Amino acid sequence: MNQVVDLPPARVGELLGAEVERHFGQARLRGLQRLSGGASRETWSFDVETAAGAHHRLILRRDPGATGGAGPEGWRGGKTAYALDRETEAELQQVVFAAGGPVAKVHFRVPADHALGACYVMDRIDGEVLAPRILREDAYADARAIMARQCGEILAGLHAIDPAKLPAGLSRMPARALLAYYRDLLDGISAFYRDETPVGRPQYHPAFELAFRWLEERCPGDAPNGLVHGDFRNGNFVVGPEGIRAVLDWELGHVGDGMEDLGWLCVRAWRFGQHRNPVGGFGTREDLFAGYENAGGRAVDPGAVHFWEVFGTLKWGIVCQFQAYKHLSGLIDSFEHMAIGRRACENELDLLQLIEEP
Amino acid sequence: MPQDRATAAELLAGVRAFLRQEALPQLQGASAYRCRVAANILAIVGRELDQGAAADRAERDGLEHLLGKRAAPELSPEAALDALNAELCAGIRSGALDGRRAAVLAHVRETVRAKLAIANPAYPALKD
Repeated sequence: MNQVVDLPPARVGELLGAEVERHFGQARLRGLQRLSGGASRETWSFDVETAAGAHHRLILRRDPGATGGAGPEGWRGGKTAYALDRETEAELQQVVFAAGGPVAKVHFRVPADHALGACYVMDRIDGEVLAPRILREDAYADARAIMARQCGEILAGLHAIDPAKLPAGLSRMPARALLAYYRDLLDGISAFYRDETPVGRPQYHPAFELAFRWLEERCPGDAPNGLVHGDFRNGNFVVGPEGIRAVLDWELGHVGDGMEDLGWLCVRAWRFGQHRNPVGGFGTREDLFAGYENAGGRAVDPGAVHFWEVFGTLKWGIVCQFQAYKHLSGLIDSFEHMAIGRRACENELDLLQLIEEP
Repeated sequence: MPQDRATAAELLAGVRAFLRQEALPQLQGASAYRCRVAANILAIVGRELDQGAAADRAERDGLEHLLGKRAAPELSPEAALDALNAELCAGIRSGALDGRRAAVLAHVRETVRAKLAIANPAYPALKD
């Protein structure tokens, strides 16, 4: 369980300062500030100068207070049930870093029983993270031209990591397990609205039902298993004018079919309006697949990637509903999350287009 | 008994104009973002007041046509729509409607387009 109390910035600074000294020796912590962004995760930026004269530019990633947690109640606690806790996420980043993957180096971890809660400190990598800027600003024109191929290369590297080296805390989530998880999530949210809200009505999503039916009939049974990032998309990349510098947000990492990452990257929501460029709003599937194969990834079956694009579109549609559930169930107080719930039907329309062929 | 003017739609439009024209320029960062979302939510509610009842009726007609039956007359409009949708979803899920895929897709597409016309009429795929 990650039930961490909300801490004021001064207290975070105090607790973090002590951990920094424990790790770096005598050192000064400067410029601590909370970065905007994810409601489910706190990100703090700070610098450290050691007595020995070293200068580190760092990020603290921790769970904010009162956001619920993935415990025995599964998604009902407001988190994806197979999401990693901060300790396992840090461990996974360390494995990927050791394998040469584009990820920030983790300097130290803080265990769950610490007053800060489970959290970790890693290098701060400069660059742009906001997808709309990456897709529109001139500074990233050269980056956009190579990013699809680069994504293929990065994913081939991630998927080739020896599964024996992965943290034990990673869930094994092949296609069938993922379909079962999101089936349960969709049905559970509907039952919650029917049984536990004054409106008292379930929800119906015939387009999601058609997608589930389509996916169940095509579910790959024998795909190879390896590391899957789980949220590999524009918005989780740190980008410079030369391309992707680092991949962020490893908390949905799991063991499964690597094609899931390729399909997710093609989901329409992650094109941020640039629909003519199916890969993340910046590139072509041909470049993505070529990058993957040339970097040693297994031969890409476009049909398999399409399966995962359909799955990803369904998943994002259900996750939109999950965002509204978090507010309507009282887990969080955020009217923006209700508005995201109304985006589910964008995915319904996309799904109907994606599964149109019988 | 009808309410006095302003109508619900007029009230929403007034508050929305305040949020966009007066509040938003004074806000920054996360608050400006939340203000934009708030104004957008009022627009959704306005479209739902305008189009929601007709969309529900059209959906019910489509379901009754597709399933070849009428909802039980004692049901409220909401309960009737739920009962028909429950049957559609169960039929898709069990495979019972596999043989009528084209008709099911056509109905669901119409319904989803009507939902999107309320939730986000600017969604590009809606124009395809």
